Amino acid sequence: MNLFPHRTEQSNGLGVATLAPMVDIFTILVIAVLKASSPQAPLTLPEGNMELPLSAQESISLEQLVVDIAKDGIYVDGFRVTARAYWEQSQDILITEVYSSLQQQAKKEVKIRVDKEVPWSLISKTLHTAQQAGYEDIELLVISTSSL
Amino acid sequence: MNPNGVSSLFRRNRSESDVRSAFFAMASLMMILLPTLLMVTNPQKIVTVPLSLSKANGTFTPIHTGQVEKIKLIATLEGFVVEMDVRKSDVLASTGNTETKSWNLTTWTEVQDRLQQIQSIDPQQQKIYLRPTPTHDAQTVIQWLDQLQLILGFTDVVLEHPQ
Repeated sequence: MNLFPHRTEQSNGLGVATLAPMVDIFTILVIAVLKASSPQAPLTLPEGNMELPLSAQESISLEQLVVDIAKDGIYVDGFRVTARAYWEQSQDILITEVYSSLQQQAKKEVKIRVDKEVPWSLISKTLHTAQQAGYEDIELLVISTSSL
Repeated sequence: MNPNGVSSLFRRNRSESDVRSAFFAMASLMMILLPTLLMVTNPQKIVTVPLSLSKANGTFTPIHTGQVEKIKLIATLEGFVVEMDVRKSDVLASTGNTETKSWNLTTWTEVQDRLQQIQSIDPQQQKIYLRPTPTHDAQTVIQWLDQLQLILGFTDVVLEHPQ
């Protein structure tokens, strides 16, 4: 009779050999999530169907005054100022409503968010308008290609 | 009796237990950390494309002293035109007699090859003027900007107004 039976090691599926690759995978996943995500607040666009272009740039944006050119309208700081279709067809290169709105803000930096299908003529007019309103630092906001 | 004799009766592989508990702790931490990160962070990473804009009625003042005074990339409906102003005389002068050479190209690959050839003539020239057509969309122009800045290494891409 065996009073002191030898306790044999039984694999329960969670041995060190099983845990090591799992911890490796988790570590890689955590790094990947940290690299591909952003600590900024979720993106809020003025129109639901607006899609930003993709870019391979790396510099993170800071919250600033934003001009949006969406599918339907043009927005300054979240408020609709004019319709997009009119200014797309217009021959004028200064968008007067955007110009007066930007002048009221009296800042030096502005970010521009555009729908990826907006023609360059309208973007160029908006950039020219911002320049004329005294804005010196103008940047385009886009979605990084390294996003999740 | 050897005090160690007691422990030898109930032998236990202490180091293996320690390693296992450490791995359990790490795995537990990761299982909490990963969903928390996924919930807290924003999956859409917003980045900026810095823009350098030409003045609407400004005149060109060359600052770069080198063989290539100006490089211009003009997008057309059929393709691209690459223009290069090459100094014929004193290359160290701020301005000089220039000769304009241009190439009509159809694909972006040809543009890249041509621009790389121009860069090999004057590697110090890192400024390029880009003029899209009014009908090109934002995504296309941003792709060109990415290619010019990140792949071809032009530090200053000046966007010109289509008009």
